[in-house]
Amino acid sequence: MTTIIFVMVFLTQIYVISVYYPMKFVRRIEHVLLNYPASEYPKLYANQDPVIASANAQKGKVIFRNLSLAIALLGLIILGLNFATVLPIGEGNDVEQHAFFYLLQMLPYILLELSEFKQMSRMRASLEKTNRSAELQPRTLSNYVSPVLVILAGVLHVTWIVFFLFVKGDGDLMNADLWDSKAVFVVGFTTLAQVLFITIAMWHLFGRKFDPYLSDEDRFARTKLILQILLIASFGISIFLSTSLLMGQLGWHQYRFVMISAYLQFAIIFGPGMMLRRHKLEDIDFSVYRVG
Amino acid sequence: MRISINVDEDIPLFQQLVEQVKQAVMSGGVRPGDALPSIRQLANDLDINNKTVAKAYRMLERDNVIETKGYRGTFVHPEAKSNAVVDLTGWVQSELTQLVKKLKDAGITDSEIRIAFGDVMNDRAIIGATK
Repeated sequence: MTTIIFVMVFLTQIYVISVYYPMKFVRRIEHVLLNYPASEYPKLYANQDPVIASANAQKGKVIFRNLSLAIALLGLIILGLNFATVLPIGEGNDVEQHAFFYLLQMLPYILLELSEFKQMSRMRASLEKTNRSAELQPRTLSNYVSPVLVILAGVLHVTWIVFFLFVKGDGDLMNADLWDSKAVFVVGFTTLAQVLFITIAMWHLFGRKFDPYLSDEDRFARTKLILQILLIASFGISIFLSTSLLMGQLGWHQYRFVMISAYLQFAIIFGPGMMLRRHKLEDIDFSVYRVG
Repeated sequence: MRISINVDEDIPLFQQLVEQVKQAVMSGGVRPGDALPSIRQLANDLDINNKTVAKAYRMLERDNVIETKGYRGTFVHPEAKSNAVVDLTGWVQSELTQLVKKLKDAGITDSEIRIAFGDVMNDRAIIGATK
């Protein structure tokens, strides 16, 4: 039974993270290259030479697609090795395998994000906009997400820490003594993750425009979506960690990999996946990238 | 209410900002008591230096068009509408024009006026007079 669940969960993880969403991203890139070419929308390509800009975008797309598919193939090989009992199932190493493989699966997404970041920097550097405008009213977090949900995210984080530090049990994480190095590391690391979410949120709210040409409506929609994703991520971490502790308490160690894999897939579905679903290309005003 | 600036214009950016905020007040785009964006937010949105926005806000605060309430932020002054029409820069121009004309009529040369003006601005005339 454990083996069947392991195989199903692992196959889903491979498909969702390394095939389904990467292919969606590839189709999105192809749609942009086809409908908004560098010759007509130079600002979208940071005013680079149209031929070079298109070639670079194509190259990036191919690297992203091939890397994702190669990782998917590696996942199938790992699964095959599991069956060949080289890597036994259900003996505690499933979690480590998952963690290592997930980090590998995230690599194309990280490269894609870095490439977008670089592109936006180029766009800001090549900014030729002499007429600049701004809204004469302050932006606040409550314009984008409900303050109740933000408070709830904080409460959940504190609840998890209390649960972790004061509830004792059999789970791996449960054996940490109050303020020993393990407890400090886990609490510090998760708190740091929450601080990182807050920093990213503040940067999107008050920082420089990520895309200098984006229309106000699109900027508002994008910022709102990013803040919602960050909020879901904050909830996700606290709920995942609390559930992991609970599973340890209940002695369900053999299903920890299911929990971890489900969380990792959740992170992709509600992270980049949500971005694809909610930030649709047809809703974006691409005329801002045209000549003139 | 939107404001816009042109980075290629000869008018300094802080002055454009002051004028834009005053126009927004006079047209009713922003009302007394309304909150204004922070210096950082406005500077980032317009892609200009924080110091430029800070300078514009200082001048608007001096003219009682806006007021800063500590950590709560910057707000439109209760008397902003009447204060926004007072053009202190224009008043300085007109006062100085009259004074310069008077000095020239008295036979003072341009360079003498410039040196005296520089001394007054740098407090040198006061130091010299007290010696």
